[in-house]
Amino acid sequence: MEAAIADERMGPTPALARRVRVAAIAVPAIVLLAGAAAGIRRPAFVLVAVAVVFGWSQLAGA
Amino acid sequence: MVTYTLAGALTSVLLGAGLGLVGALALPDDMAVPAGVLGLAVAAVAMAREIGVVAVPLPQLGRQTQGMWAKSYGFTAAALLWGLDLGLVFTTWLTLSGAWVLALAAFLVGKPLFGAALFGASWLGRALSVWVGPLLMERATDTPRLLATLYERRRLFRSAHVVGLACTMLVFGSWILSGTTM
Repeated sequence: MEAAIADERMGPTPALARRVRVAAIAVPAIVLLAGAAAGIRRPAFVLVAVAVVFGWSQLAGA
Repeated sequence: MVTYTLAGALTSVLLGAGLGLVGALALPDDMAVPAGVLGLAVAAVAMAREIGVVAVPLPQLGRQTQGMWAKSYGFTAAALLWGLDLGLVFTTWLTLSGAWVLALAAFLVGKPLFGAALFGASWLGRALSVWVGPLLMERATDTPRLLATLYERRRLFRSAHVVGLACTMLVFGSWILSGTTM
């Protein structure tokens, strides 16, 4: 019973789940689009954008 | 948050610059094609790992940063130490393989400034979560709830990582075709 109550308090809410989903998709999408635009002339810039995404996606292990 | 971000940026930039410097000293100038082939191969293995096709263990120390620093030194000093520690990337747990691909890229390009930019950007992405997290929460006490949600949505972050790996493969491919790494 106590575990169920704690679960209720700690578990994801629909609003929070939606916000996390939007952030998880929007942040890499914006960064990679910017990197792709900059990378047309110098492909190495794409790697810099990818680096941001790699750092961001470490949240998978949070 | 500022202390943590700046401290991590410092060690990340130094790490990237160091990798670039080692590459500059160790590699000959005309390495773009073999570097592209090696990068492509490593990125392909990393991608296969993240998709779940192969089970490759990540080379890592497998340690956590010290949570007790906050009790021992106070929050500001702990934030500084956590930033310095996590900014070193390879001294703590790695969940995903991209950091190794970045390290290889920084080494193969062999330019300290580029390596610094690469790992500085990686830290920026990692520290971004500390800044964005509070904006996602409804209440200040929602941190455990946010962590539970992140865990539930971890596949989304892994998918973003896979897209990033696909982009690195394109860049390594461009090295082979163009004969230059920049």
